[in-house]
Amino acid sequence: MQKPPILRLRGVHKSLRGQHVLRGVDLDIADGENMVIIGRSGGGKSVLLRHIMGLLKPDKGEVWFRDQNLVQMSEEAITPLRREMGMLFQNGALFDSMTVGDNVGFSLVEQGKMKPAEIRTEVARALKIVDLPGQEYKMPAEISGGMRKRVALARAAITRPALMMYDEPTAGLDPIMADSITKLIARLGKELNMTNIVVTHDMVSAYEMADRIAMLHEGKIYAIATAKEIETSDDPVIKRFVKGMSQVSDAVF
Amino acid sequence: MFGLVRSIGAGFIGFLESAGEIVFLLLDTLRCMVRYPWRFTHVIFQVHRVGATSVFVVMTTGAFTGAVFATQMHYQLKPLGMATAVGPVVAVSMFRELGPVLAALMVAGRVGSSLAAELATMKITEQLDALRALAVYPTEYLIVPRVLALLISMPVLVALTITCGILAGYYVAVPLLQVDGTYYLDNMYKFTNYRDVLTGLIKGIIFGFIIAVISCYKGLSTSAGAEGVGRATTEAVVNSSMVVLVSNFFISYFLNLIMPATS
Ligand SMILES: Nc1ncnc2c1ncn2[C@@H]1O[C@H](COP(=O)(O)OP(=O)(O)O)[C@@H](O)[C@H]1O
Ligand SMILES: [Mg+2]
Repeated sequence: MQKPPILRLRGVHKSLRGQHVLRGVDLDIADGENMVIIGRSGGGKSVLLRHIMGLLKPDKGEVWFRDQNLVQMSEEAITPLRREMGMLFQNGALFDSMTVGDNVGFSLVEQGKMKPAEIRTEVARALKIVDLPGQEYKMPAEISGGMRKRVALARAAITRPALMMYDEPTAGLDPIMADSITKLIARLGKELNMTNIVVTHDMVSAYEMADRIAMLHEGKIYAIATAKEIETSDDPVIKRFVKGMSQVSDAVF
Repeated sequence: MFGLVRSIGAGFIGFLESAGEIVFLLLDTLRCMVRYPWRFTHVIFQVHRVGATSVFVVMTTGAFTGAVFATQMHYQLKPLGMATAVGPVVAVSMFRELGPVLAALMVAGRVGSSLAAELATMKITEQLDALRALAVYPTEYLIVPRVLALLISMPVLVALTITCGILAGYYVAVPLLQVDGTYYLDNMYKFTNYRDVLTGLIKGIIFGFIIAVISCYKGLSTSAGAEGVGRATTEAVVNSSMVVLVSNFFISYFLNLIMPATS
């Protein structure tokens, strides 16, 4: 990877309600790379993605997207930059007053470059890709959690942003759907040359799509290595996580 | 003792902080109104939502307030031989005070709560963040159309409240309490003028702005959870009603300086 990084985080600290969640995160992500971020639940992975989008500002540190430091920019100045980024929120975060179709086509309508008929075609195509053909007129409240997630994926990816972030894209999906979403993310990365940052607990899909895997542990990037290296690592923290071994006491209620 | 001082201090700082944030939201809204093209379909949708559905409520409020006011005034003024003065008294107070304040309180209850609940829910379900992530500035997309809708709707709602109040006052005084209709109307025309009408409409616009900005602020600044949404909703109604009532005094005071009620 010789290309300059599309994203650089330097010493990012963040406390939320007195809890020191991020404690100096350093992370470089190369253009076109597929980066998987793993880590314990509640470890701050979603918070980290929010910093990359500029949705949260760090207490200390820098977040560089290409050659711009998001930390020093106003919310309004960051807004147009976000056209180059897409984010799949952990719970989908669909607009519940809009139909599925309007959610998916939201960015296309906002950009105002396409005619309504073209947008409808694009939306139908996008819904087909996430395996939800013909669901345009449903409301978000009427579909299942897994379907919502796929609608949200279509909404975020429809403009083909340069940097896509996925917050636990396969959580709550059945194994077959999870596999198809994993493949879709990998394919989007390859065919459209998107840079992918994927937060996941699903090690199967992590190994499948990752160029590199970063582990967030105790508010820092504990390790960053290729999928192969993580899989065969001897480090106790990594090993415990990827093999899924808990350290809880054996007491019962 | 020290704890009391400290909690009063903290409360005061909290008050200053939210006052500052409200002013920021207000300025940001005004700036976005100028800077971005208006979303007319959104504005029309919101006018329908906040304005059209409030029509019945404010008409009822205006009518029955006018009716009861005329009744009470009649019993006060008749012994003095001034029964026909009920007309101008009802009309002037409807135009200047009752119309705008009653409409504003009803709208604060109906619309303020619904705006705050909607925005608070959007916030806690991350829809606001999703909007930002999709490269849309929330003030421009959500707040401006709602504020504009209230600025458009409130004068109309105030006018309806006033009209219903005056009509109800007339129909109570003249047929029911047997006041002389000709003199009633004559006195009413003589003692009301365009300045009274203007006062009512100016107040309506200001109150609409107050309700919209405070309610939107309460919704946007909600804390986590269903309880936070409930609190945001209550505070939106209570705070905007209070600010309407308090500011009404000052607006009346200043408008009376530039547009005195006496003809
Ligand atoms: N908006 C918030 N306000 C307060 N605390 C938060 C907020 N968002 C996240 N946190 C806290 O930050 C920590 C990390 O959360 P998160 O990033 O969601 O973890 P995960 O790695 O599972 O995605 C958690 O302990 C959570 O309680
Ligand atoms: Mg998370």
